[in-house]
Amino acid sequence: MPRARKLCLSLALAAGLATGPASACGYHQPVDVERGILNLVYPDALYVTTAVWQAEQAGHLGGARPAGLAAAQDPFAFHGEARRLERLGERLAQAAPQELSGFSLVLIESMLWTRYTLAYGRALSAVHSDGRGEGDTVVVTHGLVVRALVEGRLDGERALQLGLLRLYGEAEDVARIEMLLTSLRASGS
Amino acid sequence: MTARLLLAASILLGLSGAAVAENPTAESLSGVYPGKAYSPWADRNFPSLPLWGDSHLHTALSMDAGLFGARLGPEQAYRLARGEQVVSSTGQPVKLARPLDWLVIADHSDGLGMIQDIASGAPEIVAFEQGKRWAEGFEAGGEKAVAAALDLISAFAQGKVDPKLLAQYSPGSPKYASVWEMNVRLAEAYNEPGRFTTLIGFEWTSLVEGNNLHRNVILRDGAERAKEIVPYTTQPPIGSTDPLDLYAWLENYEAKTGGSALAIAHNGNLSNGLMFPVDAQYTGRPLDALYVEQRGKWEPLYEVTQTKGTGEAHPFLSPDDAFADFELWDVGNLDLTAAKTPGMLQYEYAREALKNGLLLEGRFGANPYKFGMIGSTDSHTALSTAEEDNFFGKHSGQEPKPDRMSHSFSKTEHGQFEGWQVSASGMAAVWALENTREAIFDAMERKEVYGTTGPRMIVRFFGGWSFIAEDLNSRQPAFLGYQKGVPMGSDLRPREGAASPSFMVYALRDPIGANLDRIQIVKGWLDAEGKTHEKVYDVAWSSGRQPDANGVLPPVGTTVDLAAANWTNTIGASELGTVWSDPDFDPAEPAFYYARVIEIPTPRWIVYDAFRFGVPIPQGADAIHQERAYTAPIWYTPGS
Repeated sequence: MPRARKLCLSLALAAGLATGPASACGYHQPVDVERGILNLVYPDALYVTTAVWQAEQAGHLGGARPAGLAAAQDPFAFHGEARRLERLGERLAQAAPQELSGFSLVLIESMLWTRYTLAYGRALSAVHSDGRGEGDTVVVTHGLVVRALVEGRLDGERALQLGLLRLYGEAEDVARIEMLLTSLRASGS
Repeated sequence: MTARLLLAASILLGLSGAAVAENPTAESLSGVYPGKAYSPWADRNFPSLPLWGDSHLHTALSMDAGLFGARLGPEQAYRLARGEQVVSSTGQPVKLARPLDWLVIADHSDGLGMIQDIASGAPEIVAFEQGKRWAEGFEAGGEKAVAAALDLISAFAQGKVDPKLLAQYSPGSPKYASVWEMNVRLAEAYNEPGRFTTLIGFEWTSLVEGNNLHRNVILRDGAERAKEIVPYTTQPPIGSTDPLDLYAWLENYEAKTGGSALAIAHNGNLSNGLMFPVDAQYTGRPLDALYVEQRGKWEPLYEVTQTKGTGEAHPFLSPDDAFADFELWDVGNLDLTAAKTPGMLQYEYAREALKNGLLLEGRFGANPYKFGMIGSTDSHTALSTAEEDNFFGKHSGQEPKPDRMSHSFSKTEHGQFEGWQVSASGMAAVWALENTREAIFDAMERKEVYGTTGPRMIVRFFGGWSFIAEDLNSRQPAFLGYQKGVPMGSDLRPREGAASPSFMVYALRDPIGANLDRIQIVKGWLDAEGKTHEKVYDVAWSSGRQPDANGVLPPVGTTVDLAAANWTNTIGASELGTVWSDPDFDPAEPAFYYARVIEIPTPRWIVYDAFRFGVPIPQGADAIHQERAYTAPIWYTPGS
């Protein structure tokens, strides 16, 4: 069955609530259903979307928001996003004191997943991974947050306080990743 | 003054259609006001205020709501509706400007409660290979989650869910019964007679090749009777997509429990010509006496407006109606698997259905489309929000955020609906004697209701044979309205020798809303040749305007300030009313009349979004509209 046809069936069941043709990455089409499922499996993950616009309005994220659809249609947007996600891994790796169990990060607006493995100052970042890695802690955030973190305009601790990063997993693992994220310092701080 | 008081007192019982002299005698007043109380409202037997509610709200228990991220259940839905502040599924505090008086949580009966169990990997799910696959896919996220969701949806749509798994979430299973019992228990817990009423119900989600035939089922009864049943579904072998089978279920409910139930058809604008058949049902079976009788019996109301558009009238069907082009969703069916064609429209829109009802009554002796009109939200967020400046979207993915108006709502090769097209609508006003399940249900049954696209204007509409302009001067139009005529939703019986029926209509603006532009009366009728017709009359309007030589009333103008997301009530009127007689009346022609009350222009919700988020309004998006109310019709049937 063609994917578009499947989607039509989804709409049928979904009482008219629809998405575009589904793919795992929002750079092709929005993935509303995947985002909704994320909120079920990782309760209140959607809070990040609200935290982001509130942080934007409060000036915590700085910089202009890329126009939503225009960014999605920009063929270079993905590469820019991927580069920032890799830089995030590099910055975190610098603070990783030892080998950490990997964690998976998902950008809520595009549902772009990235899997990180960090060890002794080195980072392996698998951008556009196929969902969560086995046993991984999950970090839910937004591309604007990643951008602000890697550009040194926001520190990790503040991002956690503002609800711009939400973590899901075993308590011990979550605590370790939180600690790691708090190591991200804003420029001048 | 004394005479006026006596007159008011004399009509407290509101004897519908009774002939009364303009100057009652003491004898004529005897017995009509048994309490003899000083208060003109004491011992009255007609409703004094409309009760506002939503007959169509989904919570996280509906599968589609869950798939789009809803996490709020019935408790949060009731709490918001009765005036409390809650936190939405996207973490936003939300509160209504004013509480609702009543609420129906109408979750989809098929798969009720199943989505939460898939997400949590409940034993009832993972015991089955298919369920395990879905649960694991959800948990994995990414491609696997999407694949699992599409597989789940596809399996439902094609009837390929493992029958044993489906049975866990279908009538007859303890699990399904327990979810229903929870719903009933919560409805009982939040039901406060006199203050806030929870009517027990569900949505029967009939979908025929993507064409929407949904109905909301509402019970008059409380837990004792509601627990004797579980909702009717559409998945065979237990359920059916055929409305006739739903009617049989309703009949059986009443027989089994001694209770009462009714069904409200979902806005038919996405049914691709199936909602109001004239010649044949969707099954191909010709319309017959059974269908028209059953439909008329079980469906006293119609949902004319909701978040997926408004379905009163369409410019293609009503080219002379300048206000027909309003919040239209007319590019396809519910899932956009089929495009809309003009020929389908006549079987989807309320006004056309009301006209065709006259036609079918002539053919079968019963009118299947003799309905009152209401609005309700159909929100899938557990948040009944129909206010433009406080709109939490159709589903949780559409809760307030900067890009929601520019994010496509649905899109296929057959068409698309943009995010901005979602309507912050609608509301149901019920003229009930008191705020109880029984009184609200009874008002629905007698069709004494009206729908709005969100605002809470008060609208009275009476038909009779002897209304005069002075009848409006009492400041209590209902007293004379009930005494000299019949209210909205009623039949106006023919009167020997009467020249023309007269209608008393009165509207008071929403106290925190916009002024009124005009009141219109919409008439539909059937001529001697069996052809239907319609005409829209401007009957009352705010001052400073006169119809032109062609009888066209100039627009009221606009005060909307898009940049400030505001408007002023410096145009329009806070109240309008008139007594109007039909100048084209033919006593031999069956007809209906309903009132449409139009506000002055105000901003749509996207304007508030643009203002609050600092984002541009998409090009081509409708930013300003004129909200409105639609009353239930009054029908005139010769020889009745």
